[in-house]
Amino acid sequence: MKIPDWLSESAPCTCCTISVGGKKNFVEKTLVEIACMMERSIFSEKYVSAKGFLQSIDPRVKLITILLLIITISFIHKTEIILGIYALTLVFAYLSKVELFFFIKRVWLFIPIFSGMVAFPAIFNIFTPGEPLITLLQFNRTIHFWIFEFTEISITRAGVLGALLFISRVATSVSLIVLLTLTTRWTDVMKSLRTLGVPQIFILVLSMTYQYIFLLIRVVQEMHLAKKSRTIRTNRTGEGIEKEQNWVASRIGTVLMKSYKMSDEIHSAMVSRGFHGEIKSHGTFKIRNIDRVWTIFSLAFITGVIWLNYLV
Amino acid sequence: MPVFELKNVNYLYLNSIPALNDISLSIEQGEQVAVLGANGSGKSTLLKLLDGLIFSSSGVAKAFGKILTENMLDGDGGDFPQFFRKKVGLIFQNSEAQLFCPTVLDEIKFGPLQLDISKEDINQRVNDVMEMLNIENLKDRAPYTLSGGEKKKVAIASVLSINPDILLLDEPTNGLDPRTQRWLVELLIELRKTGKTIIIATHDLDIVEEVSERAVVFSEDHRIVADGKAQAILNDTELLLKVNLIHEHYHRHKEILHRHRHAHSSEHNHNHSD
Repeated sequence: MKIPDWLSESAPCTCCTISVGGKKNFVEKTLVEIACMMERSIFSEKYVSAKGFLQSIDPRVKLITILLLIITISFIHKTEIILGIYALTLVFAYLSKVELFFFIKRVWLFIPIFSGMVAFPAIFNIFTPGEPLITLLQFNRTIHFWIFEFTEISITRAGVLGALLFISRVATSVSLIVLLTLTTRWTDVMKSLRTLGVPQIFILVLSMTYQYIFLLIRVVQEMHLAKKSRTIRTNRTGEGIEKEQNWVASRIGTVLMKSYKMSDEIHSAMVSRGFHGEIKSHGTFKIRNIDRVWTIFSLAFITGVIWLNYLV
Repeated sequence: MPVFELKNVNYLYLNSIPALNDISLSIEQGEQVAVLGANGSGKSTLLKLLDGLIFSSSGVAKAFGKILTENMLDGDGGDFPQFFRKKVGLIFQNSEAQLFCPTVLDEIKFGPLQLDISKEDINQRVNDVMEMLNIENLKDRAPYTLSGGEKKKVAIASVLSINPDILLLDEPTNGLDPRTQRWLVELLIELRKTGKTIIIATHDLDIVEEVSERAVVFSEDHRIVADGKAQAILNDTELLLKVNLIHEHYHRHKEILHRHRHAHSSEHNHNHSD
């Protein structure tokens, strides 16, 4: 084997003149975000394995009672009651050894963005007529706009209350779901879906998808690093972005092919171990006294809430 | 009756690229066979064929006296698919493809569950196999969070829990650190004592003699060019050179079985002509 001459020459050292720094490109940013997402899923693992109250309840019982509670919340139209339930989620978060600040942040970070945007127009008299709290604009004639007619733009009492009800409903429902996912292993949530009559094959596909996402993320990260180790970022930014986009597009194709090939292997591995189109599994969950107490408490609570809402 | 009997088997990958070329081979119950060959010579394809995952393009492949066909291993085979999957286990080269369950415990349970083994038996087997391979602490972990060596152990556990009589291993030592490689070899030696049929596809010549008595050598044009005693084949330097398994500087430490700490890096400064 003869090593070509150029391979034995080392690059001239220009250490002193090398510029350092610069912005991260978008591929890198995206990958960092994805890595963060992975870390967050490991982070939640911390709460799943904590010895808290909700962690000790059978996942199936937890899933069903929490779903029932969420359905109940959507029927309730008294904001105080919903806020009461929200306060209760905080208590359960505390009992389940979830850091309250982390829990509140996780819920409220997204609510202004998603439901806030939906609820915002509802506070105005255009959509919710009623007693004005603040008048923003006064017109001296009736304005016709599409199907709406109005003489002023103001924030109404009914509008604000409606928006509050909506947001508290969303926040409480999201809190309950976050509590469920923080205190239950993803795999147990998946298995519990079986008790709700979700077909086994569907659950298998879902849980496999979830874990192979991690694997494929790693493939993508490695591809990016392999490329990064062999390239220098160009300083002509416009061209750089375009090149990067082209590269990403072609890599998406590669990842698709890789994952396709892998799915073939996985199928073989399943067949090799006796899979023939129908998955068999044993439930490993056991109902204990704490689960019975929790079920009775939840049902009593739901009845109480409905009674407060409709009868009092 | 041989457990596997192949007569003039050909296999075309994607119906055009040959991967097995006129293979005839017979393997008896309780034999330990090493399938040797360079990268891409058809070893993995042979194992997949023996595991009934792919089927010969021409020629006849029999297992337990029955011809392996797609129909035979599908619904039409009566009890045969179940019998065959219980008897034969394949440990894939790529552990990642083999580990598809959400937790290690589910992974080890998967095989026995599909094969209708009773619940008590499954729990017993799962615990025993985890204890044997010393992976109890990984029980609730997701397979994708494990290291390469741990993944291989779990993959082995997931096949051993089926208790197959015939174990097929595809490049088992690939990518493992020396200590885990050693562990694997010792496991295979133990399994050999239980009378299991073990077929290993490998190009790791150092382990061949310890884990098998017989060796089958593939050439780069996907044919079997030698089939005989492992020891004799390992000594046939000319043959091994021809099939590109070794390089000119390859040498063996005689036929003395010895075990001591050693590394080759510093010893390679000597002259090979002496």
